[in-house]
Amino acid sequence: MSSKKTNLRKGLINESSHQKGKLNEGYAHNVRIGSKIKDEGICSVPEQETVPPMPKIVKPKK
Amino acid sequence: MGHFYWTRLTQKKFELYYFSEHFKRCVKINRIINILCAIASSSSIAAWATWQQLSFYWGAIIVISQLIIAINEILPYQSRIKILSDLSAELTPIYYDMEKSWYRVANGSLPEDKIYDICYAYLKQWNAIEEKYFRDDCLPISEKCKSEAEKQKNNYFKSNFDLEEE
Repeated sequence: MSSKKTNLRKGLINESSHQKGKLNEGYAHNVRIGSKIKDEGICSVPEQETVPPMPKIVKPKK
Repeated sequence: MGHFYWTRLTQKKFELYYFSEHFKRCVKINRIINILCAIASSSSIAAWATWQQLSFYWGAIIVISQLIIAINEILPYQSRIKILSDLSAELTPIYYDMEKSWYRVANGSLPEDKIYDICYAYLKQWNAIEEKYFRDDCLPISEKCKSEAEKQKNNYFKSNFDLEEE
């Protein structure tokens, strides 16, 4: 289980089958500096539970 | 690509609210301890003068409350009050810069690699500040602070952005 978790964090395997509906992005995006620091226990800030829907994107007229 | 940036942006706003909730919590604990100790010691002095036969108990209450006041100065939440207020003051301008950049990300005026560069530059700055303040301490996970931060973050984005329907 722990190696599966590590692989998820490293983005080696797709999260979708394990963490359905949590974040709709792969963990590949999650290889960020912040996660690394937090995992080491320097600062314990939890992740947000839900990501608000994206605003309507207005493209500038050309 | 916009979603990648958006997720980080909302997470950072969540973190700011989370720090703010922790700050309020620490201030509240500090205030309660100070008030209780002040009431206990001053009322014990008055009670001692009135009921001298219980002097041992009044004396004990005064000693304990003075001890708590002395210990209170070195409890972790005492230092967190300063840490969290300084931390928020440094992180808030970075968040506003991130939010400002969001408009360029959202209208498609930036290429993908540029969006990554901008996003990671902000994350790097953000984490350098967090690391600076949490070198010797770390915040306990508080479910109450978390749910309150979540609620405030959702309200913020609902009222400040034209969100798409879920």
